[in-house]
Amino acid sequence: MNVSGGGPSGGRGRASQDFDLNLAPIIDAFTVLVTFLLASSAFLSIGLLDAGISASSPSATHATPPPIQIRIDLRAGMKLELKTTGKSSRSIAMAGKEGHYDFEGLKKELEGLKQSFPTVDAVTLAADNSIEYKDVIETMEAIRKTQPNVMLGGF
Amino acid sequence: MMKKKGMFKKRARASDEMSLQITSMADIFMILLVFLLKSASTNAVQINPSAGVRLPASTGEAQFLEAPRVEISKSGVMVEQDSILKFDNFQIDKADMTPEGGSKTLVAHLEKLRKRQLLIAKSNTDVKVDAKIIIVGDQSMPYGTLKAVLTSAALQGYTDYKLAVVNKNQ
Repeated sequence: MNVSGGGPSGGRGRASQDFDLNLAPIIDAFTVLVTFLLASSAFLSIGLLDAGISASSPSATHATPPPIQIRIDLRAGMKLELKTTGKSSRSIAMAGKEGHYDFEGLKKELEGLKQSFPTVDAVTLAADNSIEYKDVIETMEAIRKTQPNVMLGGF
Repeated sequence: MMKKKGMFKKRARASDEMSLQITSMADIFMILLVFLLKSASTNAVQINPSAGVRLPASTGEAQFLEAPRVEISKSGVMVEQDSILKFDNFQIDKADMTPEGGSKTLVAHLEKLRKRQLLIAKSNTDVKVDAKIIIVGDQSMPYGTLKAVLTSAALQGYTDYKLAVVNKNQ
């Protein structure tokens, strides 16, 4: 980089005021910093999902028990079962759609329950032993949109 | 033709005073540095799963958390980077199972961990013994295996599970 302090005429007589800014040490520092950051950075953003076990769920510590208990079971063959006990006792089975669990149907049912029983904020989720972990996580994600506390059950 | 020859002559002379343009390189490094610094600051949870472990994708919260870490892969269970339990394709040996459905080996190791935590908490009041435990599990793990690990943890008082997931949004 040339920084010229000369007037309009310039010329060799004023060459002493022309100098090159030495960028080499700055580049060196940048190289070291970039290498360090590349080596230490994680390119996957990892988050944490909260879960408890149904035996120690927040609902169990309520002074007054919730009006209903909601339990969701994941079955083999992409089947979902939603059971409620307490003031409203019913069981709904939802078959899979296009090779996936019917999360849309589940969300609608949970939204309906939330409107009827707004104080209920916990759901117990259980699954068959063969059900994959990623399906459990997907179901947890679907549940958490209406019920923030998901407890793992089936122990 | 004459004009062309003249141009070549000029260039040959200019090459004697050529200097490397470092300014553009500095610009590139600056952009790289800003990008890397930004991405480094957003990774709150420092979990590096072992090779072959694929975490499920979801929208988990990034939390600053210090808790024991249990990693479940196809070949076994690791607690805090120590290989504790070995199995094939997530199948825990039935002889190793407790009546409650946990793994004897894992329960014994978590008991040691809990005792160590209690000892540290005794001498350092800033350290609190809590029920938090981070579960880093492969997405293809069957629920039966997860249940066995969670039961083992629960038997030692670890009942607040934090399930590690890859954030979908980023």
